[in-house]
Amino acid sequence: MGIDLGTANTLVYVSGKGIVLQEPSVVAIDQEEKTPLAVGEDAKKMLGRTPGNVVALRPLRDGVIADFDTAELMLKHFIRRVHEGRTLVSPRIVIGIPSGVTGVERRAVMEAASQAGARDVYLIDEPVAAAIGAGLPVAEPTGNMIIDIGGGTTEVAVLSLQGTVLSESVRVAGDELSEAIMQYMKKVHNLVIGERTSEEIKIVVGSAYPMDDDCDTIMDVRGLHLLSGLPRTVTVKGPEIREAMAEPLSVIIEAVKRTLERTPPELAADIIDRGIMLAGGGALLRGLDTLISHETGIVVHVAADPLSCVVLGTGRVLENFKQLERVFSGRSRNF
Amino acid sequence: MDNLDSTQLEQLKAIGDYLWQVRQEQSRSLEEIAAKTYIPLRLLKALEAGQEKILPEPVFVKGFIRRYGDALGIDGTELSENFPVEATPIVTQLKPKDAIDTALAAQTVVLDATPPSRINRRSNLPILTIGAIALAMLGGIMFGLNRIGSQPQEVVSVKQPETTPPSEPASEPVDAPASVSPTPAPVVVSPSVELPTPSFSPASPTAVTTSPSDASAQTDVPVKVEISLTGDSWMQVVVDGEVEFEGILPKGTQRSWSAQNEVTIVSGNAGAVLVTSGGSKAEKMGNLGDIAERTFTANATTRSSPSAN
Repeated sequence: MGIDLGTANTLVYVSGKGIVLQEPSVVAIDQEEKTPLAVGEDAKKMLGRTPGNVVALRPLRDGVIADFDTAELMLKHFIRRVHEGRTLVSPRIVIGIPSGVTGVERRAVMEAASQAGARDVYLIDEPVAAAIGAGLPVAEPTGNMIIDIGGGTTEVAVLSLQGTVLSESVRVAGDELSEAIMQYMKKVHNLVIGERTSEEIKIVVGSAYPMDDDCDTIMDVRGLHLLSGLPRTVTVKGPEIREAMAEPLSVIIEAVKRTLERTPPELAADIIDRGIMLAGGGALLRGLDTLISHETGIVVHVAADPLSCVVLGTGRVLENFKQLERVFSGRSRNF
Repeated sequence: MDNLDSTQLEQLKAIGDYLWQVRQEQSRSLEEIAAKTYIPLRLLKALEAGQEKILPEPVFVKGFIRRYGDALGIDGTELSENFPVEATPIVTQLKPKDAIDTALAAQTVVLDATPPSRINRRSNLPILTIGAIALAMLGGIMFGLNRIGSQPQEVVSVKQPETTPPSEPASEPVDAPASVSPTPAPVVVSPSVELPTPSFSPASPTAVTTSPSDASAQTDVPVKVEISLTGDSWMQVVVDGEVEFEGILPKGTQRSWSAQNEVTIVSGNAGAVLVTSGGSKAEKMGNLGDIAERTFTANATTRSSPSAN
């Protein structure tokens, strides 16, 4: 079983079956009885809309576990759902984790997975998994560059011969972009909006680079007006949202440039010829590939299915376990 | 990279030609495209000329095609879909050709003798083990019954093999005149699956020669569509939901396709394509330069061709 335990979404791949589960990483908990009320899509709907005794939260922040118990609960729920009630199965689990995490954060993921019922837990660096999932020739002695923009972290890595040559992980990604939009709406339009709304703005009108139909994209945003204290609707346009996201985007661009600067020359030559692969949910932001191309002068490809690259990679590693054993960055065995 | 298989090479050449043609029509220079897409000039040249030795791995070539297509204002994503990239490039032992062959075979004929890819074998594993366990259990039961030693049971055990064989020959006589393969559907599909590999101009005579082989079976072939080209056109032919051909056919080509359910033909230059189905009069698909799509279905063949005028 391969799991992409992401900040925004959790995906599960079962070998031989493909991707069997794709749900937001959100858990809603009843505070009085301390029991989970909803997990996944149902819980996401509750984000920011819960009464006092229910709390909907995301157990992962910046790509790592922030709330251990809830994360374990969520994993247990997802694994049980994938097994459709069969409790005796204890699978071998491959989990993708950000490349720049600390030992403690790494251990937290392993613990949570084994508590949730895994036999063996293998950890794989997310950029490696994403590259395998995107179909890059990672086993060849050629340079492959991948940018994986998830919910909490952006991973930039250069890979060759099944291993990471160098990688950079910045904790600026999809969530940070939404946050920037939220701040912008507050500052310019005096409108307070929630996490869900700002994410929706990002998806509907957000863009990273000027497009042809830029000024046509408009969206009505509903939120709380700061001055009057009443609900209000404001219309936002594409260009202003792009401006709002410029700062976090520049952090990502800087990380890409820094990685390129440190790349050994032979591999840099390969990357110029092949281009950079863009994966993760952030790759769906319009014009991001053009922006990176423009800033680096290297062609940027967007993976065929950017959201599921990491989980596809973990799945492919599971299915070719012997050939790809070297890609793991850590493992635990439980008896 | 020289690890492309024949299907990929064929498609690469067709797509390269098409991109060159579109670029010439828009009278734009390669330098302009290179500046817009950030693809190195020599790779763009290699892409147009179909020189696979210079180009990188297929997954990147696919990206280049998409970028180039978008830069020309045509749908690059759709164009790049025509360039097949095998699913498991990481397994170096696996020849990509085999992967594609087995993928096709899995959809058409399962009795193909080519070794299945690693993933296929893995997915078959549970079925095999369940089968083995079932057989062992059956054997155990029969052994046990025999040991109890009553004769009526033996009769039952003899009857079983007798009842199963008739069910197999029952399906065979249906297509016995046509071919050796057990089901009638693949007989029609499998020759045309291999057709695109020679493709284009050299393929047209083989196409004509193979179609008569199932012409005798035309009575039980529900849909048969023939096309004749009066000018060059990009074509896509989908037979029973599978893309049978995709690429540019030169002027004067005549091809035909047969299907069990439906044939969908998309032409990039509708005025240059004369299409006929079920013995009806040949008609143009549309005006010159237009993109047109026509679908011929099994039961509506006679009705669809006049209505599509």
